Amino acid sequence: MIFAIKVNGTSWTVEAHEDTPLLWVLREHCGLTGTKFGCGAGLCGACTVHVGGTAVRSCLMSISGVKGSDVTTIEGLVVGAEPLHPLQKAWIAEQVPQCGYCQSGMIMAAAALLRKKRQPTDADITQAITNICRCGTYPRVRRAIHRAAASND
Amino acid sequence: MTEACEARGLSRRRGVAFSSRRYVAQVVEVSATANSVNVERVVCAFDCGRAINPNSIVAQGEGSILFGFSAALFGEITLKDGRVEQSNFDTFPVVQLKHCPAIEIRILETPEAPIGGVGEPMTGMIAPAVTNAIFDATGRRIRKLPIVASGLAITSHRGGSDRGLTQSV
Repeated sequence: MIFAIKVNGTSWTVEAHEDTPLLWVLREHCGLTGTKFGCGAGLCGACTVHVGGTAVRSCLMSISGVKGSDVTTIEGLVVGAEPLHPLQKAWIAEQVPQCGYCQSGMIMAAAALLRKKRQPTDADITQAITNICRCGTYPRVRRAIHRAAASND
Repeated sequence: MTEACEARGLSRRRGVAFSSRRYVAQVVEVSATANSVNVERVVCAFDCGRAINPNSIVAQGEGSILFGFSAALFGEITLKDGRVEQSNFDTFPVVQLKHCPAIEIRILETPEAPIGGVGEPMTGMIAPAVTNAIFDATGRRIRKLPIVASGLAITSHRGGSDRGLTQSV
């Protein structure tokens, strides 16, 4: 089938089976490989992108489920003239990543949280960030989200 | 400190180990009831010789401890008919952000010692440190890992002002 989707402000027409996960459309059709395949079952969050401004696990969302909503990936997180999103600056300041594989999804989950709540508490972060990081960067993820929130002031 | 811990109903126990020419000591602070243990805080002292990039060493320590913590709490692979039964994170849970205790890494430098790795020496101590703390707090010896198989409810809790959250593991 033919699907029209808008990713990071760019319109795409893709030919894909309706059950094709959004993840594979982003990676294979759009060439946006910043979004990662992790578990393939919605458990780890490495594939987190925004659909209609909400964080979703793109391995579980089919292309037919996007239904015209705008899709944002890590490549499109920054809007405007700033070179980096406040979360990306905080990520660098806190030196969060180790192997880095989960970090795109981690940052997209954090960005969705900050959009909903500008000054999240520890409890908010604990509830929102369910992404898995096998390197154990969680303490720094928490600090970086607080740092980015503080920079919102 | 010990008296202060006891006054708060906490118990502290030490796990000390020597690893590959690197000295590592970890102290785990837990609070416990008869059936549940709350892992609150891990303090790790680490001598890696000369510390070239201290922030990276601390990051490696945090990750090493959480990797070992994950294995100690949950890590179990079982075989049935010659096949591994676990296939993904639904059947092989791993530590998530909600499980993290407060972690403090203290680097003790010995500049004259040979330069060595920092990626793994801090992993192996967390299981004995946690299980010793469980023994100290409950009188119960954990002889078999993962800890969750013992039937104890393990929670983790970050100390500090607005960090009073408790999550079930």
